[in-house]
Amino acid sequence: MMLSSFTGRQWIDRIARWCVSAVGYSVMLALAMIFIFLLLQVAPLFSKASITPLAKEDTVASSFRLLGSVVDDAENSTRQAQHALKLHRPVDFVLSTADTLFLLERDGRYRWLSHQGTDSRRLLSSGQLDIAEITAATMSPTGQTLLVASVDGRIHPYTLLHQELIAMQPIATSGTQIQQLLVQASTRSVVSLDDSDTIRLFHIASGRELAHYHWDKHPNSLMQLSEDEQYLQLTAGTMRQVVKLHNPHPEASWRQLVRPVHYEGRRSADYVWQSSTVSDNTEAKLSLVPLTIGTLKAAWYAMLFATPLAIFAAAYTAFFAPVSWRYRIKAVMEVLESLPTVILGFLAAFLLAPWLELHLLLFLGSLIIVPVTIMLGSCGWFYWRKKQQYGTDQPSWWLVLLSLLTGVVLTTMLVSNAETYLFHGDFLSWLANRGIDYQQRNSLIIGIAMGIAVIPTIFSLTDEAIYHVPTSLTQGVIALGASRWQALSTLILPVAAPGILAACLLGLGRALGETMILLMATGNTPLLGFDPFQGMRTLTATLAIEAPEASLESAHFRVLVLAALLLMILTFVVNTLVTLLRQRLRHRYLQL
Amino acid sequence: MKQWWQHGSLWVWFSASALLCTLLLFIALISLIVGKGLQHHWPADLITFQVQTAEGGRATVMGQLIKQEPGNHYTTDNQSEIDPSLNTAQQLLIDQGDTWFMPSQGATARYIWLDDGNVLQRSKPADAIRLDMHDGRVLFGVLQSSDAEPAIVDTQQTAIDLPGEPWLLLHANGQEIQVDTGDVKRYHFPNSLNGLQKSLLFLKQWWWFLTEDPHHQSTAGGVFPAIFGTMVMVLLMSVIVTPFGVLAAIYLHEYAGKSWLTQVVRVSVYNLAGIPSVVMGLFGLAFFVYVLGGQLDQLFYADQLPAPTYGTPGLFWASLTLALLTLPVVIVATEEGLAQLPMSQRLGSYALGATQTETIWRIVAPQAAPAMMTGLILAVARAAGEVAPLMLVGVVKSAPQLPIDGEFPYVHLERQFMHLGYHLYDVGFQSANTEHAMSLSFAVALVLLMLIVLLNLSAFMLRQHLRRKYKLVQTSMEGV
Amino acid sequence: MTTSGTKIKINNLSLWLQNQAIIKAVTMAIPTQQVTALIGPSGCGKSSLLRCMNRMNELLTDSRIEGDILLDDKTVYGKKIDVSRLRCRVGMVFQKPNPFPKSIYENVAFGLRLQGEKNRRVLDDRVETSLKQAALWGEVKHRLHDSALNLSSGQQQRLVIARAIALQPEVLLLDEPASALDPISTLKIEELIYELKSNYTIVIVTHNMQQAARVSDYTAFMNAGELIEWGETHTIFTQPLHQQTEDYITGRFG
Ligand SMILES: Nc1ncnc2c1ncn2[C@@H]1O[C@H](COP(=O)(O)OP(=O)(O)O)[C@@H](O)[C@H]1O
Ligand SMILES: [Mg+2]
Repeated sequence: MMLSSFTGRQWIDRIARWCVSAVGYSVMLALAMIFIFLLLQVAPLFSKASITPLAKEDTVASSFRLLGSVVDDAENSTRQAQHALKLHRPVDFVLSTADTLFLLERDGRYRWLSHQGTDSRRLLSSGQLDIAEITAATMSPTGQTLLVASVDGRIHPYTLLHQELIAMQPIATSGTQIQQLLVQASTRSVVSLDDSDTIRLFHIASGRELAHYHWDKHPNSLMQLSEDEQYLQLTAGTMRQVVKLHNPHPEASWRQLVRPVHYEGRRSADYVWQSSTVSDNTEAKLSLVPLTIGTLKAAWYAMLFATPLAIFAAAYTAFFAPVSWRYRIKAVMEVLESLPTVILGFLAAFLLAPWLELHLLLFLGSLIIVPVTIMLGSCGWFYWRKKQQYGTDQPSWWLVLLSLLTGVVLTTMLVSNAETYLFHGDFLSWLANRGIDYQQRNSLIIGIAMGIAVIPTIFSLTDEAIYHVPTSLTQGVIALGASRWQALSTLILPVAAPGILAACLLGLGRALGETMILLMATGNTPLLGFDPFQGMRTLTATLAIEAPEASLESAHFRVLVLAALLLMILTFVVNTLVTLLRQRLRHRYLQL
Repeated sequence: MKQWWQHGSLWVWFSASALLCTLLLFIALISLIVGKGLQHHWPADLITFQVQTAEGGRATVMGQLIKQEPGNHYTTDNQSEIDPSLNTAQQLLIDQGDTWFMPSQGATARYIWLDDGNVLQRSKPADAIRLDMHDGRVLFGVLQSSDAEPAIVDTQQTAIDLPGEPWLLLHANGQEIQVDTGDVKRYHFPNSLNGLQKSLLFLKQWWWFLTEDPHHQSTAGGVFPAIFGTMVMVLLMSVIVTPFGVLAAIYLHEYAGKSWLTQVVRVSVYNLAGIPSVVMGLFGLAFFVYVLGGQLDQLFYADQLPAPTYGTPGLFWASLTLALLTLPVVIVATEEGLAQLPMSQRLGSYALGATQTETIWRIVAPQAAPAMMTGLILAVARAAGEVAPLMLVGVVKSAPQLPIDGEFPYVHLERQFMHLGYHLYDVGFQSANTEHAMSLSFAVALVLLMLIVLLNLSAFMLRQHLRRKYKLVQTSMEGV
Repeated sequence: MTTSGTKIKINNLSLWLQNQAIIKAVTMAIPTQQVTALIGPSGCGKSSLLRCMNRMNELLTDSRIEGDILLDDKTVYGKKIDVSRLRCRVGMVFQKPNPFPKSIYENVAFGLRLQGEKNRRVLDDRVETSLKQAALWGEVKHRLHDSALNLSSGQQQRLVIARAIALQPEVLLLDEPASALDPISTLKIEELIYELKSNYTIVIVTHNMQQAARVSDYTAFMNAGELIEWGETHTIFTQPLHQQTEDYITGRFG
């Protein structure tokens, strides 16, 4: 028999190995690709804006149309406008939109008129801007934003809100006096031309300089925007130069995503998420802060509800209950864990929320009264057993159930009386009188519903961690005369602590990524703050609602992808921590 | 007191009650869904209430009694103020059938609250009939023959032939309404049915519910397309996820070494199981639908552009997304099974001259098959209950066509589909309006719950079986 | 040395597992159709040496080998060697029985099926002869299609031997085949080895000195990865060259 022949079986083995490895690699790659692809989607969000000059040939060839009629110089245009509008005396800056007219003097005095046609005019308001000397001014085509350049080279944006001018954060520029301002309405940006012949592009709301371009030595030049706002024509005498404004995503930068921004049409700077632009007149407001806070808030209340219940229940199952119980309870928890969250969301939103609105006081009251009855039950039972000289380690479950139910019944009785005598019959209106607004879909609901979703996760891991602590340890302590609880609290829990922490983290990971419950039962209003009686809007719910409507290349879509990445990284870190902790625990148990 | 505190009895009681609370919560949850879900199709009796009206007159209301509770519910005719004297009285919620034109009263709500104190008399007329119309409405009434004599109908039957001519239906409030027989889909006489007949009817109602199409914005009819859509999607997902998941697990456990890098890869794959599903949905939308789908359209369906074929959410992309989502589940379960198989089995095979492939194919894979099955079932259970990612990649409220039909090429991967979970979401949001939609939602939730619980229980049993089996074969690594 | 030549020649063989030297420069010969026993304290590398002979060590992570093993004067460590064929020629049985969760019949036929043998008659024949050779036929002939897991562990071990000899190997490597068994089963295995000797070259690892003395013609004593001495069993047990060997054989070893 020859050993060195290479048989068909060997080839099959090799080919199979290649195939399986290829599939293995491709699966790993596919999973890695999720991350890479999402990163690539986000990257353009932070690409820089630019102003690039076009060559002469391109300028001639390109058939862009300039906005408005071509006029020779700024003064001429003002004069023409004054003439056309039949103004009685000359005004330095005449800014007009479709139905309003804004007349501004260099010293800051202004008049604001509404006009239909040329004849019917009405004074809306007048006043004095707090600016020493104005060198340039412009208004957005929608008439919502007024931009004024002061002599010190700063640009002062104002937003017009209910016939009132509200100053926004001034935009600091290089300090050179500004000759001309133009608004790029589609991107909410402003282009300035200053004495040093530099063109600068700013995002109005954030005051961020996006790009600049220096046109060499052409004093007294003039800018004009093309109709599509993509090009800018510079003229100085007979010189002409066209530049392209590349300004892809001005509405998203780190500062806008995480800092308060003063958007037009608002009274002050704030964290705002308002992605749906009803018309072109409103700007997408993409602050991730309210959504992140919402996610954290939801997770916080869920954990607040779930953690104590799950850990206590797991401790009982793993340490006190008979083993035959343990398997059944674990089976039940397994089913509970796999409960589709859409069912929980439905129950929370349409059953629990209306119920809790009616019985809020009952719920809050039971949080205090039920533990108290259990405490009393425990105390009474302990001394009774002692007197009878029975073992005092473990109460039978029906006694506990009894005291639990007694607590609930007691609460019901007390609460209906308390509501009539203490809160004039209606707790909610009593709260409302104290300035506490109760929304039907609020954090308490989320805490309970998402808590139920998270309990099995925390439960299983905690149970495993406690159950697998070597029994020799327990027996050692009990042999020293400790009660079972003392053994648990002084020895078992500290040993199992990494496992319990891992359990909580895993629960947190699940709470952070949960969608349906939040989508259905939060009310989805992006609010700040941790008020338990208010709803929230979370990252996940926002993704589910808004992603199908956002168009692929838009800043909105990219910000949503960023939110997804954020969630992904958050949960990935949490899960990695869980893995590490569990490994450590396994190590620890092997050593014991 | 001190002794009690030190002994820790309090904490034992607390942990016991925490466990009881959790279990009670669970039982309440399940029994709520099961109870309310089953109730939806129970042929309830039709009751005629003689009611005293505010003006002192009498009125009759006919309908099903939904619930009875004390409290300060607003009566339909007195929306503004709560009468404190009524607060203790029992309030009855009556389902009086669908809104039906009632010229004298204007549009009447299907559900009304009655004050029990005002009810003078209740009766259950044996010939009260419930009609389910083709247009989704449900009508209650008492049958009358066309010449105003009491109809002689065999009330024991539920499937008698309808008379050829139009019916006359006498509504409980005295209104006579003409109903065209052609419009009636089904009918029965609930009050004259005995328990057995009711149960049979109940089963039939469930059967109809599971096999019929929804109509009227899903407030009426069945849920067949949703079940079918869920099944097809899950099936397609299984077809994708099984080979990839199993092969990837075999690669990780049998071929890739135990190096530092594979360890990192393994942990990462495991952690991917925890990625929020909606993130995966977004990836599916951005990559599968927009990028891959867009490319496919340009290559093969260019003639139909700009109307997208694959460049829009659809069945295939949904399955692919869920496959990606459940891939870690399958990998983890399979690897667990592979790891439980003792090394001696593999060595025994090698010692007989088997190659690695032969060992895996003949010894390892058959023994790890239950683990793979478990993984697949868990994946299916997760996929069947997952809604959020589907909202991004292909599920719709109502799909005009099923993803599989008799039209070439029979399986339409690009079509949008309906899904039980999303159906619940959709119907759930309508349930804010009416009791009927609420009860319908519970029925949908029950179907979904049954599906998931069945899948999970089978996975649980399979896993237990697997553990027991391995205890038998278990030989230690020592001595190999 | 008696009748015939050398079946396996081990030339200056060293083995490293995870950069630890497990076997250090071992040179010895395994005579044809004789029983060679490997003895030594546990952990000294007996099993490892045995595994080198059919290249099972390669399945462990991070193993490295130096030196050579010749089977019928041809190297088994060449690059183009078909390891499957090698393992068919050099069968192996492990300490604990490891029957596959298949029927008794399928267990024995497993190796043949791998070879592509499909003829039912050939399979039936070979299963029967192998089981007869392994002295198991009488006990299982009426339940060939029962699960192998239902056999007792002594039966399982004989089944595993039958499984190995069904391939008609030239060499059988037995790694403590009786250490997990009761005395009666052990006796049966020993009788079996005695029977098989006429057809196969056998290498057996054992902890049991009496067993080594009873069943083997040649004995090799190893300690800490080194081959201390080897020769005819009679010589080793009566006049060992080394003090260590004597200590171990007489049970005075550490
Ligand atoms: N897979 C392995 N990796 C590393 N070292 C091993 C491995 N298997 C065995 N060893 C080591 O090799 C040495 C010899 O083992 P072995 O050949 O099983 O000894 P014996 O069979 O003589 O009791 C032991 O010290 C053992 O620790
Ligand atoms: Mg050994």
